Amino acid sequence: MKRIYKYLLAGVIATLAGLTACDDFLDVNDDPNNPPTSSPELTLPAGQGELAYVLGNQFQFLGNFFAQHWTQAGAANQYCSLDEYEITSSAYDARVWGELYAGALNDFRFVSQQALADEQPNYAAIGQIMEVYTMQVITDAWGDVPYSASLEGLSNLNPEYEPQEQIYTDLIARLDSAIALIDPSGETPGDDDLVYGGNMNLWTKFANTLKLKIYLRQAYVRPDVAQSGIQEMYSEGAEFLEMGETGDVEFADQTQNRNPFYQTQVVFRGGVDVVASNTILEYLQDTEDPRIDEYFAPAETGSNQGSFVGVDQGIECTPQRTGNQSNTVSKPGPAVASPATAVPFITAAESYFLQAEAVARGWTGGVGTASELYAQGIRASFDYVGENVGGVTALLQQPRVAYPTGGSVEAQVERIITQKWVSFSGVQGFEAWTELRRTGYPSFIEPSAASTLGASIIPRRLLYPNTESVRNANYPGLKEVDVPVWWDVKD
Amino acid sequence: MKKLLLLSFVLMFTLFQQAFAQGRTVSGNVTDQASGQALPGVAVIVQGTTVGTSTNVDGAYTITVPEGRNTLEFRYLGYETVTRTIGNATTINVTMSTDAQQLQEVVVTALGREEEERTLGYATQQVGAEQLTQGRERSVANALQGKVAGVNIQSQGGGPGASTRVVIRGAKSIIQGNQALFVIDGIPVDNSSAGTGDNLNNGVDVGNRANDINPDDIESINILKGPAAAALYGSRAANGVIMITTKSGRGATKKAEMSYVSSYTVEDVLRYPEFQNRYGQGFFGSPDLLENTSWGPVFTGEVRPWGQIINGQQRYKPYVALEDNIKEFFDYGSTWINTVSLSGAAENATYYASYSNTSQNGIVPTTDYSRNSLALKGSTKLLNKFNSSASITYTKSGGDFALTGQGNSPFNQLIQTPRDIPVRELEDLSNPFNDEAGFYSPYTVNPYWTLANQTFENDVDRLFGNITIGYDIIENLTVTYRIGTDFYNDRRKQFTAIRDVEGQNEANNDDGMYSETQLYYREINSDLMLTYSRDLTEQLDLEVLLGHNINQRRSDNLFAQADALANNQFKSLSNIVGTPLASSFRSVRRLVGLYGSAKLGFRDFLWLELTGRNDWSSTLPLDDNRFFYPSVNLAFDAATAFGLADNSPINFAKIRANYAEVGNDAPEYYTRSVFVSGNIADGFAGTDLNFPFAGIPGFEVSNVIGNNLLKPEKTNSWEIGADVRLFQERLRFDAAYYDSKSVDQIIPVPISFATGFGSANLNAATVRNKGVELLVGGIPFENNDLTWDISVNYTKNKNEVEEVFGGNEISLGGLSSAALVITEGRPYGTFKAEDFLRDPQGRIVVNASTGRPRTADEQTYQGTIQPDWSGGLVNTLTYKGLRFSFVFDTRQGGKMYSRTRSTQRFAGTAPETLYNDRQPYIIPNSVVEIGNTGEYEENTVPLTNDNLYSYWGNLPEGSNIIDASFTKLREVSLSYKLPESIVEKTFFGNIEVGVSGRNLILWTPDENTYIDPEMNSFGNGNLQGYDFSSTPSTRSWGANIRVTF
Repeated sequence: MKRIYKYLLAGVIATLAGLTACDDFLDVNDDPNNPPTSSPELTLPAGQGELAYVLGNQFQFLGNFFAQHWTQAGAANQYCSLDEYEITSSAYDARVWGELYAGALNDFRFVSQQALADEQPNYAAIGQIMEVYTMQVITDAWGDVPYSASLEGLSNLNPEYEPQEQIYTDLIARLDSAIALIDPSGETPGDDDLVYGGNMNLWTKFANTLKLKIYLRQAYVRPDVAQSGIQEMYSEGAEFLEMGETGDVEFADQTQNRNPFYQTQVVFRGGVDVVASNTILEYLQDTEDPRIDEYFAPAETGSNQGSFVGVDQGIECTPQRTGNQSNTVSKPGPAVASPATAVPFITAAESYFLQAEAVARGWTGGVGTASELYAQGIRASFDYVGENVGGVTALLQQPRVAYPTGGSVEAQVERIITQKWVSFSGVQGFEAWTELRRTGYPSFIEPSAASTLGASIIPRRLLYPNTESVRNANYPGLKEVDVPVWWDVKD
Repeated sequence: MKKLLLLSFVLMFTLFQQAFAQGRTVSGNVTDQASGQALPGVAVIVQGTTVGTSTNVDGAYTITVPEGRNTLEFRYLGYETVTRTIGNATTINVTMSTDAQQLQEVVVTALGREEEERTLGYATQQVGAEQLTQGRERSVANALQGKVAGVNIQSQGGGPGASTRVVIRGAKSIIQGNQALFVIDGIPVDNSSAGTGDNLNNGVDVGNRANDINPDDIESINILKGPAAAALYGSRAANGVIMITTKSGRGATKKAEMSYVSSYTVEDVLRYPEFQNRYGQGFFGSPDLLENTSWGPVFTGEVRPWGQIINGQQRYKPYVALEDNIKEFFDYGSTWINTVSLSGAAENATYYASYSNTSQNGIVPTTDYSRNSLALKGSTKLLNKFNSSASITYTKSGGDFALTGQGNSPFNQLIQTPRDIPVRELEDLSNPFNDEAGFYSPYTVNPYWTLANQTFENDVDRLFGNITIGYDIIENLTVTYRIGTDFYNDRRKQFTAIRDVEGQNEANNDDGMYSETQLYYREINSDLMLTYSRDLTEQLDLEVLLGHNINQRRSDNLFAQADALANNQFKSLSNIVGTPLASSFRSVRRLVGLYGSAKLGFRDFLWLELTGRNDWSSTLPLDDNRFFYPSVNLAFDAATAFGLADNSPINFAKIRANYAEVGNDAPEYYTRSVFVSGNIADGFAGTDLNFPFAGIPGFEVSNVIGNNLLKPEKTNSWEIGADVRLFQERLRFDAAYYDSKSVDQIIPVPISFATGFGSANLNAATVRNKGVELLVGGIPFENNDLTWDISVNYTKNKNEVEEVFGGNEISLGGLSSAALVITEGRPYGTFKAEDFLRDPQGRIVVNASTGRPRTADEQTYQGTIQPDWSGGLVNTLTYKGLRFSFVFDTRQGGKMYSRTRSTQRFAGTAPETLYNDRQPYIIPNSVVEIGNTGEYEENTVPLTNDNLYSYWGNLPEGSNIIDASFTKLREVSLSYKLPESIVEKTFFGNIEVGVSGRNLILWTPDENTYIDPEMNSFGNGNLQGYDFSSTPSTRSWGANIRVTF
């Protein structure tokens, strides 16, 4: 007995002494739950999905409220802050600003850099194009933002803010270098490219359309730069996205893969908040636009059951509110609020409207017909939301829709942007608000009844996020929501 | 109690070799002078030799005395040593009396060592079994409330099996745990509290794992307060240690003793929110039968319809306030605890066995908790210099819990129920007016529906125990090996029924949800210790300890969820539409340590101890994973040194001082950057995009930058204290001052997202805690029959975050509009919240068109969760067999966020919404901004009837931060022990009956009309101070009986 104990103890001591010296015993700190490395194939879809989530969720709410496609229903008040234009510095912080920079943008940066190292130029090109796209969204929302100094991790913990003008200039250069990388004969992505499944021809067109969009954003602030850039593209025979070539991310009707607006508003909130704004609803009704069936749903109950009824923008967030429930008026419709609704980055319709504007401004060297491109834009919009394209002909007869051929440039632009605005309804809210800021169209938009800004002011930017003010020594200080961004110079 | 501890000390240090020399045989009995009872385990030594034995359980001994020796020495810790000349006697009977000075002074310190309290250079506080179990509280941690200075014990909610947070001397660590380490019989055990869901939505308080400990099995608890006390334990002990010693059968005076304890307690809600009872259901002052708010007209008493029209029918009721409509929802809860135990001691062996059952029914209908535990413990002392012991405890616990938080939680529904809605009439879900389609309001859900259809249950199997083997190598040199383990499996099942109705309540439709979670945890702890003690000279003695420790903690968790169900018939992952979501999480960490201590005693009044520990941790960079930390402590017994006991009223006076460093390693997996499966969320439950996305995997660059240059964290602390007792111990003081600084804290420092990341793992913060602990106690009156014992404790801890990397701010969580942050120059856990916009004179700026306050662009700091001070009062009166005790507990200062206030204001049920009887008024002392100029003028725009609701419903979140001060009558107990003259005639050894109550009265500042400020909805982690619609806390009272056979 005694001897057994002795041996036991001796054994224990020897084992313990051995273990202390043994590094292997302590070499267990490699995370078994997450991989240490990735590849462009695995990270590209993550970046695309994240970007689509932000555009299809928080920016979808924000943009469609500011652009007056949607407004808050009476019986709830979740989104009154949007109708009141009360945008706080914490509202679009970690989950938007954070996801755009540290999510999508950093993932695209990894994709483009890793792809260059791995000699996969097409991945590198897609990564760069998506970087430019994401960066434009960021700067359009917040104006001057970190750009060259961003994405450097520990090497620069206080990224400097850069003037938007400089960022815009560089975005064009980056797009050019991305386009130059595209090698149609090289290895291309497959299903992991959620937008085009590796079709590099479409990526070239997407990049060109994005470039056109970036130039046109500067149409009022730097018309000479916009004009010469666009002219150069046309002289080089640049191709743009056409019918059916929308670049979007499709969601899937399965757990945690559903469209985020659907999941947030329809499922989580039970559809009690978001309803049709009378601003667009009355325009659609006035122009007898059949897309009304796709953008909105008839009232489900109450005295207006079965008809399309909207709510005056912001009125339910004022003392004049009715308090009516959302199901007594029109909620977002099947094309924009279904489980698998796609979130587009650039639609074919948008491409046509961009081209139409370029032509209307006379910046294409005579290439293209504005009225035809305008009509194509409307057709592409019908097509995208699942409306019969045959209805476009009748719509184009409507006095408020017919193209003002021969009218002033500004009159033409107004018509183009107004129809573009319709095509954005519930689809590209952020772009609708951004183009409204740039052009002031549709001209019939008045500030929300619940506005806390002065008369005839809509939000011109988002407040810099709270995290920047506390984490970044180069935080430039508060810029109120009524301060326009650099390119926003037109009244 | 005292005796038990003394005994155990003897067992440790008096393992004497039998002598085989020729000589006389002497035998006899040893008894206690006071009680006349036999004293087992008394060391009987032939003076001047190593020959000795000890008395058996009957107090008898027989010893062979070598030739030429003539004196026997009887030693028993806590008793005065007795010396007897043998002469010609063959029988020597001895009575021993207690040594007053040494009484109560043996405590269990780090690693389960038993040491004389007066030789310790650091603060500890012991709580005995009687104090612990007098209130019949099922949770060990709760049972300590109010009784220990320097320890903040906060029970988090009123649900059955709810969790408790135990923090000693202030929070130190920003992301790692701040709770004291629980150690049972020398083996650390897990006390985690894995939360459920996200904190805000439909969370459940599943309790903390220390709830698995059966208080009736505990012999004593010693609280090691500072790092110095716990330095030998290493990393996890920087937060102090709750050392639990379980019953062992040691010192049982009979060969076997059986005891049975039974208690039944009843509980109800301690604090209901106050409600206004003037206005009923409606909006804008008009009736509205759909509303969940009380912004309707003044009560009229007229009979009016309510609820929906169903099949042409509608219910009618008088339009009056129902003052108790919320109260009626809650049941009386009950807790029945039964423990039976068997213990005994034979000559060289002890054993203890117990079975305990706890059954609790919650105040929220359908909720319950149960715990069954089985404990076995035994020890033997072998003649061949070996001794061994083993213990094992199996616990099965679990329950049915109610949801908390926003969303469908019952409390959230209740506090917004209009003042005239009869809640109890909503109970029958088969009534078409009450089911999901017929319920009156689309804005809330019938709380009874939630209880029946949104369920959460768990079931935990847990085993912990240890085996210890000791061997006396030579005299005074002992080697001990102890290995222990703690593992559990926690299985959780959450269910939400499908809701599919048409009509007004359609917005609440839900596809249903079912999830299963399995949490598996296993900890192994091994200690090899060598102890040596020796008198170096007559005046100097030495105790040395050397040890080696291995600790491994492993978790392996599985989670699966179906977020659309096929039907409501059964709760299973096969009841699903679409694809279930599954994930797993594993972690393992290992630590190897070498430690040692040397304690020098000088002339029985001065002790100096040096300790050191060197750890190698798996969580630090592999090539730099070693860290060393020392401590030193000094105890000076002035009373002995200066002979005060004999010539002054001072019986005892000890001064203690110490300095300690305790190192701490990192959380697992902080040293390397990774990629993570793509996930993005907007903050609403269930709206995530989670990869794989339509079957395509995606891994994003993690937002956290790993760091292969991490250093260990260090807590440096010093402490001085004194323990003085006067007038035959009738008056006693204990005071401590400490100052501890936790530096190089390893945290994921938030960094600008524009860096491409959200945080970087860095050694990046310093938190300092300075404080005072005072304990004043006394026995104002004492005679043969009556004793009055009273003690007061006071704690003041000043906490400050001295440095955060780059001046950054770290959010502990909460709401984005009212977060709890760590920021330089402020206490740990400071509220940063939306505030009113104010003009330079501090007046509230209102919106010129609505008259409603504007919210400032920037959030402001609005107080901390840290109290200014806390204290307790423990009072005990004993008269013959009667014992009466009560405990007060108070915490003053500190803030909390109250969602109850926010919701009650929004819903118009809070009393303050009656301000100005809801007539239009101008917010007093408010201004409007002139244009956009930054100039202000007096406000003349009144709040109107129409926007009063908007006013109360949209105040900046900071206005929901309230004073969290409270005082509680924490515990009252009365027990009666039947006199021996009666008991003797029965077959019982002892009979004791009692009644007790807990948390009977709560006092709070006037502004808190809402809740018990001890509640916290976010579990017992670092995020404290949020009332977020959790189950209200309770008061309880009950009766108990304990008998021994």
